[in-house]
Amino acid sequence: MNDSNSLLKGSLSAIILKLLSIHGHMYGYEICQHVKGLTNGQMRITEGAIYPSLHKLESEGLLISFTEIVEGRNRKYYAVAPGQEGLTESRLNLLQEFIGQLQLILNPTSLLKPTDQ
Amino acid sequence: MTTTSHQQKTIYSLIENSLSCEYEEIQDELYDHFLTEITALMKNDISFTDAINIVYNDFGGQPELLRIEASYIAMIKKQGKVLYKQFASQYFMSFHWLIPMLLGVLVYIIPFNKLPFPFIAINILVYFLVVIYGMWYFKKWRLEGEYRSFNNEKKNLKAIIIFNYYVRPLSSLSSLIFVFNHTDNPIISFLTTVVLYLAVDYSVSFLKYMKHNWLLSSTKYA
Repeated sequence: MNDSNSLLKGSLSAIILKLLSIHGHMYGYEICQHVKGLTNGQMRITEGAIYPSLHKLESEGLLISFTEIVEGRNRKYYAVAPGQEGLTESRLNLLQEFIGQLQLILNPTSLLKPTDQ
Repeated sequence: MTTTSHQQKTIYSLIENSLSCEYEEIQDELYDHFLTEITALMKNDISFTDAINIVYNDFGGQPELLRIEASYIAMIKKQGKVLYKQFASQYFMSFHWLIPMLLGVLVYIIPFNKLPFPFIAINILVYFLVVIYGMWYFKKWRLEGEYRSFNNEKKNLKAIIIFNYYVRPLSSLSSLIFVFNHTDNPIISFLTTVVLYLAVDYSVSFLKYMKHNWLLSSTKYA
């Protein structure tokens, strides 16, 4: 596991919500592969992390799940719960705000006024 | 390359042996993940044995699988508690409870102790058989994982019918006969009848509520 993966764990629920709000419904393996594909394999959600996050979001009522029979077996899909799109959006905004604040700390030059530089 | 039925059984057994096996739904979810990933690995010329080891280790072995199962059980319990609270407040706020209470009073004042003995005996026998069947059925229902998913509509419907049309009237009748014959205190027998009537109605209403809301809020089988 590289260092980016440990940072990823904290943002996992926001990533899941974002992916589901874009794609409608996805299953666990699909979410893992999607993150891997989007980051050219740099980031990889471990299976041990994805399912507890999905279950937590479902228990909070942010996600719903449904099962379909695919190739003779049950496949469980997750989707953003109806009426929870707003809450999802606010969580994503919160994450974006946090990233912005983190950027200010990590890159203090952005805090300086143009005249100071 | 696709997996053989023997290989699929191996995958399922591995998951089954790694979990405490209380809920079928989580086993199915993990099985689907394992099978999809193993099939993808085998397409890249990785042997089945290597593929299953890779996926199992990626999951973190049995400790992580148990942790996933624990998170699933925590979710089920949380959902159950939320639904139960919603149900309890709706039940008592809607004054629905007045109906079984009034029926209990009505049943109490009917002179059941004057009914012929064979009628009473048959009813008590049927009542106990139904209760035993109900207990056995509920245990089976839980063990098969249907407790959460309600994925067998026919069986579930049967449970509702049994509770509605057999357990409710029979339990009231039998308890009434029992208290009439075993207590001289009319207040105790009156309270027993009314409370039992209310308890059975509460249970039936709860079962119906859970069935409806669980289906809406969680798993649907296509």
